[in-house]
Amino acid sequence: MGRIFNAVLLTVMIIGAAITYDMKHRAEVESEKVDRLQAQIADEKDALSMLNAEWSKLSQPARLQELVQRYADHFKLAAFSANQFATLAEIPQKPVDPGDALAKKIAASE
Amino acid sequence: MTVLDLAGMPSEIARRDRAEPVAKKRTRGSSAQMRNRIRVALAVFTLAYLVIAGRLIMFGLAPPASGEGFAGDDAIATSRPNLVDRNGEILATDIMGASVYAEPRNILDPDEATELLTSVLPGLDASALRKKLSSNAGFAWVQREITPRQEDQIHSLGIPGIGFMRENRRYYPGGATASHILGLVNIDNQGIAGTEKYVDDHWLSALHGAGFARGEDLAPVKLSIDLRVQHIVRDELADALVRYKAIGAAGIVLDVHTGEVLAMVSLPDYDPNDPVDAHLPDHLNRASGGVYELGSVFKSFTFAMAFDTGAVSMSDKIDATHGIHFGHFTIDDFHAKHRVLTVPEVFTFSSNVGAAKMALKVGADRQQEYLRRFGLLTKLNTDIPEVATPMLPSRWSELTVMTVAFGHGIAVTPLQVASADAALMNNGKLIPPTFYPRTREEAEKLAVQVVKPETSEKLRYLFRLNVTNGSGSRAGVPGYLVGGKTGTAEKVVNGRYSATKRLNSFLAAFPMDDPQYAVLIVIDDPQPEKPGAGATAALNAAPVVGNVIRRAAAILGVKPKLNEQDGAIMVSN
Repeated sequence: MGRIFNAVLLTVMIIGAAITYDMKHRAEVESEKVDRLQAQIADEKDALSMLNAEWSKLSQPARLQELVQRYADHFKLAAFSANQFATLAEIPQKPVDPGDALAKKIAASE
Repeated sequence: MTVLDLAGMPSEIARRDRAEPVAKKRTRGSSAQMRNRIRVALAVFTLAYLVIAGRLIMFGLAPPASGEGFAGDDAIATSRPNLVDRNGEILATDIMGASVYAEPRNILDPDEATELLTSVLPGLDASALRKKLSSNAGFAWVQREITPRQEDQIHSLGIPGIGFMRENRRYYPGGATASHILGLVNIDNQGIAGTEKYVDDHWLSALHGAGFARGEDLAPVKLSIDLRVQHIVRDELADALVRYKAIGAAGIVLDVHTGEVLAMVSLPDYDPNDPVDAHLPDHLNRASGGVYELGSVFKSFTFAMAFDTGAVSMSDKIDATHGIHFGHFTIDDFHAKHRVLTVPEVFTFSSNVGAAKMALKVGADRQQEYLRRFGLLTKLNTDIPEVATPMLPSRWSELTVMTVAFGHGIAVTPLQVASADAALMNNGKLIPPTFYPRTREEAEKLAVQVVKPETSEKLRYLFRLNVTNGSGSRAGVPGYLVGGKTGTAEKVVNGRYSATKRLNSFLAAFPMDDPQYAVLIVIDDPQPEKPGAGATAALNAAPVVGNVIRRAAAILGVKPKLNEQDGAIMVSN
């Protein structure tokens, strides 16, 4: 009786030790993974702020203005004037297209 | 064997002849002891396991620990929040930069190392580097702040004894564009000027001191600046500086309803990425940190107080036939008409005599009271540290009243004048200017009524009249109903007003039917564009204002209003 009980306890203990070891090992692996990912995130964040800074530098109004001036002739660019602004409401209705009556007739006869 | 066993000995010896029972008794006695011991051991182990279980439960309930403390260990300079403009465009950001260092003691072949390093960093002085690497020092910088690409290249060269150190570096993508607003940081990334310093003084340094503020967690700080408008103002001022050979210039664009600064430029400025000349005296922030006798733009305030007190009405006439003699001073007009002027004419001809006479009607006490209300007599504390205190006349004599009426004898900052101008335009509410976003509701709570709405309306009429029919005509932009006042002040040279050195300014607002933005341009000591031409504010400051408004109005969301002669809206079908 006692012997069986001891054997059971021993088995439980060995299994417990094995599980604990496995758990610990997996935790270490995961923690390494977390560290790696954290490092990766930090790197990505650095890269992101770098790219943001670069984007901001490239889209600076001063730079865009210089580019516009350089290619103004090529693309026929000109500064807009006040009379080029309008809202949709101010644009007159498009006149109704009377259509090409003859073309319709031809299409119908075919 | 323990003491307990020995204690049981005598009885055992006494019953030696009865071996069986003795043996039995002995087993019984020792098994009882055994049981005791086992119980003790069990108790100890149970206790130990209970402690372990308790700890486990504690760990289970505690929030998961973050895996920090690996990357960024080697970052040296402290991290700062990004500064962004009102549209979220980055004005200042932290980037991780690597710096290369060498451990000359561990370098095997200094010549080879030098050759390899200079192949990646061509800007390095080869002979100096060779000398540095040949020494027996433990540490030497090769190059601070290199690009990631260079870091990669040097890394792949695999030179022994060469290492990298990563640190936060402040980077301003716009360079000098908003330099005076943003300010500067030192090599340890601490703010030493402008908004950077303000942020530090108000919360960031306390946060750093407490050990918080880990880089990415800091929310960006949003400013009220519009980068596009800021660029336009700077571009136009830089242009004017060259065209009129001026020594300096300042420009401010202010939202009249909220007090938000949309743009503030002071030239000459500096590149905050490489602030070698930021400390030079002529690079100071003229817009908020310099005081000037701004001349005739001050007449706007004289007119405002004259109307508001009822001392003068729009239909009055002022005699400007002769200059005013006062002791050995004479007050005269730049473009003297030598006749009686109507009140609007005093404004559009910018008559010093007329303004002086109007100020006399207001009186010294009320003049001071109004100037104080406009915030022109006290230091304007705002969101950047570079603020100057106005220079006031020591005595407020009758002569002072007259000269202050046209902006001489009192020196104030352009930012103060722009803010007071906004009050004259927005129905009389003075709102302290700010460099941070503010809603109209918030502004309403801070606003102080300084003049009556009717006075503001009269001033709007005069401002507009001055552009349509007066000295400000060159500031006009079709569709945007610009109104403004010129100011050509004589600068003081060696204690006397100089006839050739001027400070020109133009104080404007648009659109005048419902002003949204105030614009102030100041040009310091401009020269005639062509020999023989004049150099008054009407000829240089006014066109700059016109250009700024032409380019910025659409960006600021002001819709043009065109009448027939300005050209109808064109629609192509």
